[in-house]
Amino acid sequence: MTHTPIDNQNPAPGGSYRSAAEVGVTVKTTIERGDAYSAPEIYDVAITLLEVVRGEDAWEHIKAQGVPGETPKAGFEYILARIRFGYSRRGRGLEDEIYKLTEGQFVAVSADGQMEYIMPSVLQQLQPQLVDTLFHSGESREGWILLQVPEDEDKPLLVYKREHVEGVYGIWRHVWFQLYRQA
Amino acid sequence: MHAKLVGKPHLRITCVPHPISRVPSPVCREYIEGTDPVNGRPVVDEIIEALTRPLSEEDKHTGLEERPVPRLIGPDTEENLQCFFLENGMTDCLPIVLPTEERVAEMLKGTSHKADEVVGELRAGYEAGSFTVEQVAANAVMAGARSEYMPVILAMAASGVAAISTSTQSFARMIVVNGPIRNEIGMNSRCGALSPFNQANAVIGRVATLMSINLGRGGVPNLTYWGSQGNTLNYNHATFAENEEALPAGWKPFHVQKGFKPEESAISFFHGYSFWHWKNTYEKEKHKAILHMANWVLPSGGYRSGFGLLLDPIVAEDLVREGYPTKESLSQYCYDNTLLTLGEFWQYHLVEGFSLPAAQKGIEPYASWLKQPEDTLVNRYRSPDEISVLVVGGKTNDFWQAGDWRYIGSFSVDDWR
Repeated sequence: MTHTPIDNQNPAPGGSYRSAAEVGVTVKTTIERGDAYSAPEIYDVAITLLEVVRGEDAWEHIKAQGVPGETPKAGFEYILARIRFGYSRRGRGLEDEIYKLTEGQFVAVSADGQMEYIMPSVLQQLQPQLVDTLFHSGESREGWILLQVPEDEDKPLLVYKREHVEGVYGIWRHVWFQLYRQA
Repeated sequence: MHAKLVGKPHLRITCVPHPISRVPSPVCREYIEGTDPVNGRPVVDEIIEALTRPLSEEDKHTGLEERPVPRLIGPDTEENLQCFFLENGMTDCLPIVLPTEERVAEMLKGTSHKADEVVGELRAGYEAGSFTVEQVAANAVMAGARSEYMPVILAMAASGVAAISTSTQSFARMIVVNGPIRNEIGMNSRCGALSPFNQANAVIGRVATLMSINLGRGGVPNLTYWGSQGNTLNYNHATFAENEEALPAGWKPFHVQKGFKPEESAISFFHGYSFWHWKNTYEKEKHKAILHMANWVLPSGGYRSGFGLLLDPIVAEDLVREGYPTKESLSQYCYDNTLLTLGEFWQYHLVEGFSLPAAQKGIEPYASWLKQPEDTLVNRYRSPDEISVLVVGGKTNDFWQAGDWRYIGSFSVDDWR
């Protein structure tokens, strides 16, 4: 477990851990590319959490894909999140920047938004793969993310967050999703 | 500087002068042994105190700051309200038109979009703020806009391109309007287009700055704005309309070059510092004089320098006669004839800061350039598209102006009618 991820206190769906978007709801945020010395390039990102598979079902799914891995660590269970991720340039400009979605940008978080759960270690990504893939402007794809949460965490959340190497650039607002189905 | 963005708004920080790349070690040592340029305190003392003073409850607070914006403030006198906006950092320090409910409602008549529609987000400081059509209208009122300017102003707001940045370099924008909206709202593309003689030209760029301050959470010196000297262009960001009616045959309006139809309206942003004016001196041909200017633009970080050329229609016609039947042919000429040696290229400190690390990571073309002799010639600009040609002016003299303006992007105005 690591320390608290950013909560941007935005009441719009997906804008805060308090208003995490439900499964099936599309949430948008902005990614700024470039650096301090050249023109900023603005990209829209649209993310939908399409499906959540947890516990034994998740483990069966992993085994069915033949992904080498281990059973979850004691007290934890796997969660699979099927996500649609879209990336497109706002307006028209010069050449488009390719975006690489990296491991650690999608993270499972406690229901109170205060605790990040460490990513499980697997030797390869589930297919279709989302993490470590490249997105061209205008592209939207679905894929699986593998996460793990404590067995007693009933209402875990998913956050899409910036990389610390991005400086003032990168994702403008983190977005939050419910990693569970509403009763 | 990034503490707020990473959820640590009370992180203890100190500040040293910039730049630190390409600065000799003794000078860097002087910085550390010197004083913080913001508050004048010894840097070393600040570091020791920051690392040893016990954390207060405020220091332990994490997360981004919640900054609720009241929709209305109470009634008061004109003078007091002007002071309120000024003293709360909500203006460009010039008097504003007070955004009363009536005036904002009138402004909203300039668009079909609803007042509570979320337009988007803007980041002029270290965090992005989201905002509605009504909030944009309030800033438009403050700047002195007319309601018919709203589609242009909303396009500007929705672009996500802030007019003010956080950099220690004093950047500005150049804002160009194309298409039928220019004439619908009476913008000036002719005599004095870049001077303060036209309401739309003057006001639209002013709104850009006010939105960066009030919606983009920027523009506070030594907090969210660090441009050491500042830039007078920040008052209205050189906003003008292209003189499409005076384009030579074969020269397309700028927005058409970028994929819009002539009957569509668009707003385009450029990023840079400044302009300088030129007229034929010893060269008889204008295209040769233009090369002098294009060769003055320094290689920038990430090999992304831009060159923006603003030609009076007389100059554009002369260039056609000199053999440039399109804007693109002039851009290509500038691109092909502004070479520099790799020895020169690697000397620029922004290149050293951005392109050299890329070269060391094997990223092309820098990795190959690092292996080549220093007298190897390379293009100053990444592509001909980095050289933008615009026509503006009233045919009263064959002057032109240019600057280090890199094209950012173009955005539909018609989406916000």
